[in-house]
Amino acid sequence: MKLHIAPWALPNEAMPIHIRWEPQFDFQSATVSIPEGFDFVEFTNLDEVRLEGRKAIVDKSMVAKGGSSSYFGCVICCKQIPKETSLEGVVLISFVHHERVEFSRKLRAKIFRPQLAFIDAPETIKLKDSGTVRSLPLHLRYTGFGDVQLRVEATIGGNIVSESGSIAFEILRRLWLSEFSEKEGDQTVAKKKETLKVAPEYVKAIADEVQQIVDTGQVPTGMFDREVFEEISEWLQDPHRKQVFMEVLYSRTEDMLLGMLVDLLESHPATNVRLVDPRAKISTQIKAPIEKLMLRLRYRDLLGNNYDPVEVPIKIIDERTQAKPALDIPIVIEKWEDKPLLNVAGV
Amino acid sequence: MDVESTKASLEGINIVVGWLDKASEYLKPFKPEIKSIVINYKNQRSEINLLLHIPDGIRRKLHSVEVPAYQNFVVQDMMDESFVRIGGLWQYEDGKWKLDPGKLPKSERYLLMLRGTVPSEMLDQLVRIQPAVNRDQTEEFDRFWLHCMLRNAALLEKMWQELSIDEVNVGVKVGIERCFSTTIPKELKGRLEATQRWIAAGRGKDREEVRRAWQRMREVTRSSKVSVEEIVQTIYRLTTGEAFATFLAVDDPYRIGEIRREERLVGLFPARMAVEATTELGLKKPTAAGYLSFKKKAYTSEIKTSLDKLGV
Repeated sequence: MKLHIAPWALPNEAMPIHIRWEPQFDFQSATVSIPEGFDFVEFTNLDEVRLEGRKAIVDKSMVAKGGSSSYFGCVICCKQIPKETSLEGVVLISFVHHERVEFSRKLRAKIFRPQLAFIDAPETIKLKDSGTVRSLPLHLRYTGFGDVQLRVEATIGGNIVSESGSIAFEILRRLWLSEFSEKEGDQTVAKKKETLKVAPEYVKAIADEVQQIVDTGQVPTGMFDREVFEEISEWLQDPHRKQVFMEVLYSRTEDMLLGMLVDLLESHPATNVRLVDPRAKISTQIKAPIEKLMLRLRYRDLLGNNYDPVEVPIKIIDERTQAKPALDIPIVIEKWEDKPLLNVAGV
Repeated sequence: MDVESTKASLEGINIVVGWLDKASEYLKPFKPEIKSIVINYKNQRSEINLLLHIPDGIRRKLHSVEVPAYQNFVVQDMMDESFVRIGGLWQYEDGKWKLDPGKLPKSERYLLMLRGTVPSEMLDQLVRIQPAVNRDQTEEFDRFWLHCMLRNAALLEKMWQELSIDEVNVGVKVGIERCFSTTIPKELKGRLEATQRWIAAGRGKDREEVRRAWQRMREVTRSSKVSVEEIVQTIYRLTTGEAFATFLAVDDPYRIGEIRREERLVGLFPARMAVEATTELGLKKPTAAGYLSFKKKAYTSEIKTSLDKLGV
């Protein structure tokens, strides 16, 4: 008798099971009992199956009629998201002949999930006339199993006040803020042959995205002042200048590659975590002297299961008496405690 | 669940089986015997070998044998007992494969080889394939479970004495970004830090800081001995199928098949490598389970060695 069950699964992931026996093994019926919280998804090599709650009963006449295909399969799945990082249920397989159990075996159905938590986050942020808040530092923990995509989000009174930083925006902004001039553009044309030729499609995509930002005029608040953006847009209306701009973009391939490396490093702060937006920041006007900001970790696994978000409240105390510019605070995950479950197949 | 859908799914199989039955019907005087059916899962080609018995008496009696063509199934070849190829005696005319038995060389038995393409939906109805969505990790390696099984061996067995499905491929996406991100060489780190500073400055509003960060980045770049291009090329080399294959292992009955970089637009690093593990299924071996392992520690150290060689 050969029995097999998928050694591990995420919640909602199908777990195939197969049961094979020697052709001479005789039985009247076989029963597969699955634990609570699990469902049958599919059966293979059966013409028919009788379902009684969480039991599937298979008479021999429902199975392979031919001599050599002495097997059947079923696929089960855990429909609930466990609270703990692991959950184990027992699948009981038994074969009955002449009202006697001829064979029975337990298979372990092991379900694992990831879990994120805040270890540390500032309780309050004080805004003062004297200085700016440089960042919002966080200390997070990963436990459990499974790669996750993490999005850090901030809300005030239910409105999202965090903002993502597209690399295209950043390049546009940086090009503008640094020594971006027609002169550089002209030099670049001459030097073009020496520049890197890698990933031109990437540069093109970035250039297109930048172009689109400029064309549609859709620029997130905080990324540029409105008047600066309008200045750039106007500047780029001139076809010659646009050409120069693209040349500059191409000439900076190496910077972009380095930027991508940085992006890679920042996107993978822990073994199992990929940040959807490593450059997220809080960007909003503060209207009341005390505002309650809610910081939320939203994460999902590779199968697309969304887990309950983890939240932490942060009080923003606005002690500014003079100008009250909009907040512009990068969310920085300074420290990760990374404790994934290892070797779950062997557990 | 789903006895109904199991029954429904067989209809697809029946289309092809139906044609085979029909072909067998036309070949009935020759007592056709199916010797083997091989379906290649990957390229979807099917190969059906029929043994025909054509004794002298029948050969003289029958003027013509006609088998209607079905989809893209063709008579590929025919052999007599002494393995002489006589496929050329079959002619395709008016949607039919025709043979004049009178022209056959003297032989009791002939092997008729039919070839065709099996629609992918039918393959799905024949085989259930599933890799683990998420890896299991240890310090040394990442592994994925692989599972495939015939959906209805009984029915297939009733119709075909021998069936095998070759190159059943289970596709796994092996993540490698992490191997690279932990191996950024020291010298490059200086440049990265300068770049990070520039990016950070770009997030703020201090135009002067952006200018300073930009200058710093230029300085570091000028003093750098290694070009980013060399690093990129090294990464390309390490992510070719050939190089990557040495860091993979699969359990019997699987073999490593095709390996591709899975490119994201981001371009520089492939986030993942698409790896195929292949196996055969047949009536005597209707299920296959095993692991695909990626030796990530060894791979990470290979990345490090390669980058060290660049002098970074």
